[in-house]
Amino acid sequence: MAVDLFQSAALMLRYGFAAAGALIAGRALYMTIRDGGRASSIRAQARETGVIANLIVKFHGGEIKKYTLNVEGMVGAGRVCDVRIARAGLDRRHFFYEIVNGNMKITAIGHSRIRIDDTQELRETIVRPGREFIAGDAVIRFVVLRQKKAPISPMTKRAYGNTISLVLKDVKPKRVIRRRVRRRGDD
Amino acid sequence: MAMIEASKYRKSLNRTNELPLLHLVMLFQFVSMLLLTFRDGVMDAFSFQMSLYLPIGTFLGLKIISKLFPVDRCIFILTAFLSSLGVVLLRAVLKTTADASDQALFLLIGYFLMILSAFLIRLVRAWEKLSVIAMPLALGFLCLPFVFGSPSATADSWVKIGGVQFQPSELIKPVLILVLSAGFSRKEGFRVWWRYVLFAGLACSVLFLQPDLGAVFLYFIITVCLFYAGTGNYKVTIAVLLIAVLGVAVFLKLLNSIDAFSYLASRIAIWQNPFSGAYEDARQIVQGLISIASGGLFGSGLGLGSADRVAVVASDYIFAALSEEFGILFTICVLIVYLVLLIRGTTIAMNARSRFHALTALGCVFALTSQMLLIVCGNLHLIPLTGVTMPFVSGGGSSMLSSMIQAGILLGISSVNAEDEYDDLMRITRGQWREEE
Amino acid sequence: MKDMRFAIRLIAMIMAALVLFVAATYVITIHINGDRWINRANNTRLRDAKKTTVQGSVYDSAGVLLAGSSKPGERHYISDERTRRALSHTIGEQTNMSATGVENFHATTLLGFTTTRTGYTLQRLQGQDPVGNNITLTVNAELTRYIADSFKDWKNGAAVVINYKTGAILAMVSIPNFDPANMDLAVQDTAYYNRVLQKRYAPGSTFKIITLASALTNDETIKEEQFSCSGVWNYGEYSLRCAGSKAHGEMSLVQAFADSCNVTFGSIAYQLGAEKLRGTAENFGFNFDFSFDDVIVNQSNCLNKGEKSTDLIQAGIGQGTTEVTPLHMAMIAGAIANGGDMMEPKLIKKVTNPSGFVISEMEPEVFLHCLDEDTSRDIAKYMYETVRGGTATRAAIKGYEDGYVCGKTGSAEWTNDKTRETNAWYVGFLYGDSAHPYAIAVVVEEGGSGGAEAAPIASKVLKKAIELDVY
Repeated sequence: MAVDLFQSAALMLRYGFAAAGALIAGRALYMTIRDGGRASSIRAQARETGVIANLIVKFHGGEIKKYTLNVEGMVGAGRVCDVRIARAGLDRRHFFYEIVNGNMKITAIGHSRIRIDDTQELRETIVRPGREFIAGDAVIRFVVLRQKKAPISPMTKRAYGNTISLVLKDVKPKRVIRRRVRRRGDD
Repeated sequence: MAMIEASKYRKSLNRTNELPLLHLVMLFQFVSMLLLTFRDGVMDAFSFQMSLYLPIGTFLGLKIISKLFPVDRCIFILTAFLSSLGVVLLRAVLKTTADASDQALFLLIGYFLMILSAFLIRLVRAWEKLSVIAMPLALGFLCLPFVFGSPSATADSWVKIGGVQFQPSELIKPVLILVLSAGFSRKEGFRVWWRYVLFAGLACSVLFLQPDLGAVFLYFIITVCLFYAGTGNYKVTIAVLLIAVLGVAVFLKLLNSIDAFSYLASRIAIWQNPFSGAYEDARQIVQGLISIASGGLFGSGLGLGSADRVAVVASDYIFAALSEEFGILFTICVLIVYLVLLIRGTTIAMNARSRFHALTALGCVFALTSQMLLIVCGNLHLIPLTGVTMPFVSGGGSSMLSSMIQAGILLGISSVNAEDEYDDLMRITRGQWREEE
Repeated sequence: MKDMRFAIRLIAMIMAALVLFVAATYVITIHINGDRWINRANNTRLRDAKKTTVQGSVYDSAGVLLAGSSKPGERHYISDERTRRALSHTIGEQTNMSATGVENFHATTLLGFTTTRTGYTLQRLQGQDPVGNNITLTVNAELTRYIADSFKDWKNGAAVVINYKTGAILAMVSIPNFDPANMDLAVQDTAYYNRVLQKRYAPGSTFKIITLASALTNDETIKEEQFSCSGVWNYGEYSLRCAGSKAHGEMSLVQAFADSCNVTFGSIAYQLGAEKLRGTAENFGFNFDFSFDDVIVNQSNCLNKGEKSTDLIQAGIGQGTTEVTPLHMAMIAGAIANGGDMMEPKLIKKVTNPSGFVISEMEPEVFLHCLDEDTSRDIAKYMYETVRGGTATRAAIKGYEDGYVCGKTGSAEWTNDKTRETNAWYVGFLYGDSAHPYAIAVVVEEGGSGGAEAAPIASKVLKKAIELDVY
């Protein structure tokens, strides 16, 4: 008798499970599409994300231009670079940089080279903030930007490294993004 | 820098509310295990406990991990769903509790590993140096089956030490992904990454000799994927793929003449024509196909199917069991869940701020999805069965732990992304910059 | 980082496409092959279901009850033993010995296993034994019994009559047979094998229909050619002989066909070449893995095993490695009669649920367009000449005026390394009679001459079919 009851329950629940599956998959898809929409609206609103430093480039003709930097990226003349510096004699993909401990670690790609003070040609070097170096025909200075609020991301924290104490007043980081709305559905 | 409305930006950072999804998954876990409690006429203690532990565990797990790091909660819930589906299926299909309780145990350990991995992946610094040491260690670990070997039905790369059985190829997979990501993310060109390619090649060779061909295939395509994503060098990638295809074709032609691989030749012959009735081993495939077809649209009913007649159902044919017990509709939904994991994982990879994280996320997502494709195609008789397991769902401790680690890595990277976004938000809304010389 | 975005997106799209592809393949594979897999003998689920379900009944096209159940696990058949035996391969039995019988191949229908199983669920919930669906077949029991009676008791063989306009199988007999109501009785070797669907015979001269079709489509002038036969043709170290080494002399293509001249058709095959002959054969369904909904039919083979030129000549006269099932031969004959369109064989006329509601009905489907209308008409004429004055005169039906009796005989040699035997073949149809569109194939194993053994059986059977007015 109990087994029969189980069989009947199992047969009825087949439809329940199918519905549950559909709801779960559907909800997951909905959430993903919605979040994707939000992400693109963010990117549309604020193109420059993760900026923590500037590159000030003095071109050969005297022109000066400022470029923003993320934690790491590629610099060169090509379209595929994160920082695109055109008409300055840089290679298509000139060098790759990482900002660690407040300094900029540069690694040249392929056959490209970095020069410091016109003396040595380097493949890898570490540039302190405020210092200049030469790539192609341009003189490039690296400048770190400070923030009013301490970063919580480990990437950014590593980028500032032990210089972070110089940053600002508010040192206690927020760990979690608070959810705005709990009750009524989403958003 | 563009001035935008702070509130609008803040609003965009919010994620869609994940609570309905959580509740649905908890409900599913509860009802399915509760149903199984009464299957044999006597109340089954294990199932009843699971009907409570699984939903509570998922709930607590979510609470804990989201308190620790701002992870992608949808991925966590879906991972919990798939893992508990594995426990449910094992309990429903196998008549003894043993395998299901092992699975539940590994699930628990897996949760811890997940949180651990998420934590560890946030420490970006150490990985790139660690990879140098990790490579020889990993290779050594992969060689263990030669020493302690204990072959199982389809893959001969198991190790049994003491009473514990595990599969090194599964456990090393996350290590492979991390090492390769570290290697290919440095933009220095050939002189750097040749050693990583060598490492991958050696790993594949070791696995090939064991032989565990499913793992070889997985390791190979993961390497190719990470190589292409890391270096963008499509010419080399295509060349390698072509050589691989040619190599396989040549290998298959020569198969019959090499004694050591004669079992492979027969395996392929079985695969080509399993219905001929000539081979005993083909029973597995045939029963699997019968299983899949017997489910119909809504399944035969949880606990009412007879998928246990398929050999090795626990790991290799779990998909057939899923299709039989739950039916076509539900199985399609499970496939959609994997698709959602793919999409979210890709988003995480795209939003990552460092190349290492991006590659790692891509590698994990790619590995999980490829595994799923391999096993589903194997069950559907599209390709020969490779011994690979279905991530999260398949029984098997090593597979479960490895998948949980990969999921943990994804969650960890997603939390870093989220914190970066928060930093951006603060930066933008608080406004000003001070340049420092 | 920007450079990686493209690669990541590309890889992700490829993977997503693969996932969707797999999902689609999953659904489609089950849709196409699901029934076939479920109905396999080693599906234990069906065996279990038979213990708790009342299987549906099987009727013939006239409504006669052939098999039924009153409670789970019980099965009763038609009371007359000879009829039971004649229908044994068509209906099947309960112990999964005969894979092609309706009770085996369509077990899921008889057990009520539909894709949603809602009916099943409801019945279980109400505490009743679930009842399966009923099947009405296209065969006619009386005709089937008559065919079985027409075979001499000591000869094995097969015969099948189809409706070439709809594809319906009107009668199907395979001998030796068994008694589904008494499965404990000892049976002859191969009794459970359905020779109509599963056994591949060398077609012998009946294959000349295909050779002729190939010649007519590939060579426009061959109709006017004259052929000369001296009874023997030597090629290399082999020689091809006509029956009894009889020299047919000078003749036209029609005469060569009607008199079944091996030399002529062997040389025609040689001139056509393997590609063209195989091509025509494949247009008629050779080398094709049939997966029909209603019946399992084994694949017929022609020149697909890397044969040499000597095999080509043998193939032209239906010997060598050529093999075909009787049903396929009947379908070929039907295609000729039907203006070149081969219809898909159907066995199930309709399926009804226990309350009498019709779940599905037979819908004729064209399986292959083998030939254009004109060529098929020509071949039909040739086959008419064969009955009128050629080797198949004994297939003529006395007193039949509504249409033309067309046919082709064959005496196919085969050897099992110990003896050399000849199977008697007749393949033919009634042409131009829209009320009786029958095509028939008869094989008598070790029967000798097709014209002497198989043709008379076909004549009797078709006459009976006309009498019974089956459609």
